[in-house]
Amino acid sequence: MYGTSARILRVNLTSSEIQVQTLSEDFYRLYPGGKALAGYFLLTEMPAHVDPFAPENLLVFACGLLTGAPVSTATRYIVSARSPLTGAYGESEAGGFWGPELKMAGYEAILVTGRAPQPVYLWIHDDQVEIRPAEHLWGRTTADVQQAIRSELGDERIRVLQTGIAGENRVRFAGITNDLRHFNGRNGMGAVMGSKNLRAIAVRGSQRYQSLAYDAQALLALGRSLAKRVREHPASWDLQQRGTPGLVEALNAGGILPTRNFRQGAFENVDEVKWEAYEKQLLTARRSCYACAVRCKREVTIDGKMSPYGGPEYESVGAFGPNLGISDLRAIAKANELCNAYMLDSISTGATIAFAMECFEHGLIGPEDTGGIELCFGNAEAMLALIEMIARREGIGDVLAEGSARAAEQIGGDARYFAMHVKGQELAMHEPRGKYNVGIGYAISEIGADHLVVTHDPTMVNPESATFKSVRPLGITVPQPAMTFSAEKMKHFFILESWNSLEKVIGYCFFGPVPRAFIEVDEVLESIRAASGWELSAAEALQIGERAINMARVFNLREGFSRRDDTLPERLFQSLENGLLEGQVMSRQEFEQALSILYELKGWDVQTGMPTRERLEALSLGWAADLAGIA
Amino acid sequence: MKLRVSGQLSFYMPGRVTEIEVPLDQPARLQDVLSGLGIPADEVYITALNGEVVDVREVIVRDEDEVRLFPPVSGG
Repeated sequence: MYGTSARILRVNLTSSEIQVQTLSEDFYRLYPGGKALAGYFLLTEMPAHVDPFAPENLLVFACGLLTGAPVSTATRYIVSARSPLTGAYGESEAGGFWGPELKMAGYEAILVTGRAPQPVYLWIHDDQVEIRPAEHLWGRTTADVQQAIRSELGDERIRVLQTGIAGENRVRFAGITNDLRHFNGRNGMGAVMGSKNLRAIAVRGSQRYQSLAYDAQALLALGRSLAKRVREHPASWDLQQRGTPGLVEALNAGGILPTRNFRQGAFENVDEVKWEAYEKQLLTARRSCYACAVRCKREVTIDGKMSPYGGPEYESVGAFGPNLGISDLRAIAKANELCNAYMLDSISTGATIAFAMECFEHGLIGPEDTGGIELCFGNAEAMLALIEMIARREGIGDVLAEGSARAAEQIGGDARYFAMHVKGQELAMHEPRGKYNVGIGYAISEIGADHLVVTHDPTMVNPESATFKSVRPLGITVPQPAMTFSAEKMKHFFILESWNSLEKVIGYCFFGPVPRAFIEVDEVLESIRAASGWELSAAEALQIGERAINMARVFNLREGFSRRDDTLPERLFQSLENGLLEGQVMSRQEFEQALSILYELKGWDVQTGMPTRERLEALSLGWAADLAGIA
Repeated sequence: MKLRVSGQLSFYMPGRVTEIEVPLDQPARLQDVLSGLGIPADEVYITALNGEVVDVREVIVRDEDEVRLFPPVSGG
């Protein structure tokens, strides 16, 4: 078998047992890493209705077939468990260096069960695996902990994955970081680590990916060719120059920059938070993930000091800037830094504060609830104070640490209307009212609202654009307007969702393959061949992605989710207050009709949203139909 | 004419800048002006002429105008 060690590390923190399992090629070909491995193990090894904070919750860290390959953007790994934020299949992916290092240590995945009696961290050095005490690391910032682990193990090149104080305190949207600059932010995977008393996983590996590859020379040649192309391709060149903060201005112009808790689509002070301001006030350098020529990561200086956590991505700028009515870029960068020091998901943190600000504005909470803080839109000091309170679960921070959906239940009244979430997870900083497939993606995503389910609609509008032409090999041939719910649009969704899911299985970043960036469909297939020896058609590759989606879907059905949960906050069916799309409305009826069309394309029951046995069997998932009792 | 572009559209600009002055002796079709500069109109998502959204293929521009171009944006 090529492209993988096929070795799974199993760690039971209750009993301190450590085992290594080797997978067969037949198995791995169906589930070649990441999202697919996670879905398989969560379904087959965990009973339904396990409390996300119980020792029985299975926490999976999984690389993909290509994670660590010498190909730009093939750096990603998945963290998965039942989510404490949504109660559904949980998943969050990240790039950086930790995934490739795990692969080089000889493991495809780590499966963690149980709960350590005291805080611990895991130390993996090739075949040496050790559970080590971490009482001395508990309660410390992520930067402190990374340095402490590297010092005590005597190697500065060790890659440290960890949660933070927020994870220790089981904030339901606590995340995970690796190398301090790369984040499995979403779905509360850090809180699951905290519930297991697992603060960190330190890894050092000595293999090279080339020794795993079927055709190492072809893989290296492809990697070199792609690295050169980064500067010759507009989208990847732009990511290198500006990174994701470069998105702010164009979103604002399109009236789709979430502003003041999604009430508005344009921010009057956009000039103060757009890229040119970021470059002038914050930027010091550009960095990358492992072996990636895109280099979309930013380094910044805050208060005269270089931040150890890197600079805010677009999502953080959006969540702490326009969506809170805040235009102080330094405060936005500080908010991002606090989240990373304590390991909070910056999207859910910002969105939950936006929710709280709107509750405050409507008198649902007052100064007596906030400890005297005037929780108004635009108040940067209030934002920074609230982040500290959420991470430590102090005062109203304890309520907000539950996420906006649960907090709304506690606050009562109309609060529920201001919680902008799907299945309990807060919306990312993308406005569906100007790109309808993003809305479908928020609604249908198994992990709750997520912006990386499909490539966003504006790239699929013009048949002569490079992005549209790039996905013709996948079967997308008829362009569609961004704001329409047609049968053809749902075909776009079905194909692009499977394609993006494939990326999450095999380890590619959203900023690698077309249509978002520069790696063509045939090059993705060639990278799979050079890594594994498998000669896949585009249709077979799409099926790998579709299979992973269906396992996550079956997991959710087993937990009681159904079509009624594939919905959007009421506000998104009302008009925006300003910007280019002011006054335009997305129809709920058309949205529901589109969902029905999409279910049929996916082979899912239109009434219940449940995958049919026929479709599951076609995806080699008959066992999942048996497991979920699908007739 | 002042031309300002956002994001990846500056990839096509002379010197990859975000803003240039394009002298126009007489009114011209924007699409022709862009073509002369090597900026593909098919990669433009939103066009604003003096603050008003217009169709990049239809609009006529004059020397005193300000044109802003925005690309399609796809998250991340």
